[in-house]
Amino acid sequence: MNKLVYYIGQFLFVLAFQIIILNDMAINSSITVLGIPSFIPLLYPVLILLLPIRSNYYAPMGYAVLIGLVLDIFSSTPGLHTACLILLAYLRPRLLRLFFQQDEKKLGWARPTIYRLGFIPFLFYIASGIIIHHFFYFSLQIWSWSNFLIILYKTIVSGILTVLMILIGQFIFYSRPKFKS
Amino acid sequence: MRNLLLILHKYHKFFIFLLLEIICLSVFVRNNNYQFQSYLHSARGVSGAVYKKKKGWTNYINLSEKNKKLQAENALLKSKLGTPLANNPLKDTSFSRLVAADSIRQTIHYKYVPARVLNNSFDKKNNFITLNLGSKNGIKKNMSVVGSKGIVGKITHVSTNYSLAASVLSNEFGVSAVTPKNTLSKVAWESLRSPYHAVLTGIPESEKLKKGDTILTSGFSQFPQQVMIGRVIGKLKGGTTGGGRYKIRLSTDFRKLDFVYIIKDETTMERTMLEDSAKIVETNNE
Repeated sequence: MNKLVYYIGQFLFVLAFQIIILNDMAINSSITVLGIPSFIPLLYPVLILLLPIRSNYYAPMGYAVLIGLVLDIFSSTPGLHTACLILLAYLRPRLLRLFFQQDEKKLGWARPTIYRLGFIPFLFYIASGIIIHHFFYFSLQIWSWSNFLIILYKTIVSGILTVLMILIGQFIFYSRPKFKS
Repeated sequence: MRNLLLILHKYHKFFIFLLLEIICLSVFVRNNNYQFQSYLHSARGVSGAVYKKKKGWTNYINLSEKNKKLQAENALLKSKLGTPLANNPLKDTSFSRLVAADSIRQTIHYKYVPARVLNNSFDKKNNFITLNLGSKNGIKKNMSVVGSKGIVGKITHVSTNYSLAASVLSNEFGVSAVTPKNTLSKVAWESLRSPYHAVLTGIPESEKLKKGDTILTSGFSQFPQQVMIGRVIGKLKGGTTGGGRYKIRLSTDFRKLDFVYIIKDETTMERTMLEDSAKIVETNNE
């Protein structure tokens, strides 16, 4: 019950933050300089990435479809966000296995946080997930390989901003455990 | 058959993923132009209401600048009108204007309806503007939208209380334009890089445009005549077959879009609808 409240709260908070504040960032500030394309930091993949480590395969898939639908309605892009999130949800167990092969059993149902996993493994896990998601998202959105440099640029800049935001969020919302297990 | 079932069972996770991804991508590809037919858009009731709330919260941030802009626009409109409005302006903010068009159809009756921008984007391939008026206020598909400084876009989706307009910053969105020497041409947003610039195509080699020349609408697309589009910045390379290509700076600042006017003109809407349906038939036949 407690967990359910936690996940609903996280869902509402992250989506509201994305839709109300981040989607306006490009509009209300002047991030575009020297003809470099404008972009929006995309925080919402964190909802999939921070699900419990051993959660089964189907729940993240359904969760990805739900988040994608909400975002697609709000940004008038039918199918775009959903497709990217489904790819991320499919690749998530593989990413976890790649970085935490030994610890996977020990970590069990714990949520992946920066204190449980350690700074460097957590950073690699988050960054690889974000880069995959962003690259797929921007290549679908721009839809032409002649603009490959723009896709790459947007992926890298937006990805760095998103990873920074996730790290800051980790430091704000999670406290260091008193003694290590 | 048994082997097939075994394979399906062994890789069922991958097949579920593939199925979902194919559904999503087909929805995405089918709706990859600005006239998309899907029901997933932000003119819907719930998202429109959220954007309206948000606009209410963030309304105060740029208030002084917006007031200045509105004042300037009011002054401009008054100077254009010359005569006081017929209706009480406090009761009715819309106004009608008679424009002499040609000898066949003597007058065009435009009605400008003021609207607020609730949500806006300019970093995508097709960009949309959510407006706070809907079918309840008599807004229909294919009405054109102009701002105080120039063209903005046209209405593509309408719900009861909100509507969605494709902005000029959309793929395949062309506007018929006219240069100071009355050459017909076309303005389209071709670069993904900047929300400030568009490309003017179809200028014959004999005509040389100078920097700063004003580009106005011709009246052949859905916008009324003589609405500002932008100013010429310089010539672009290439494009010799379809005439010269020029880079222009759009006069509307899509970053700071707030107050716009929706133009109600039944005949133009009917024409645009007809042209669009012809386009759809053309693409289906290919």
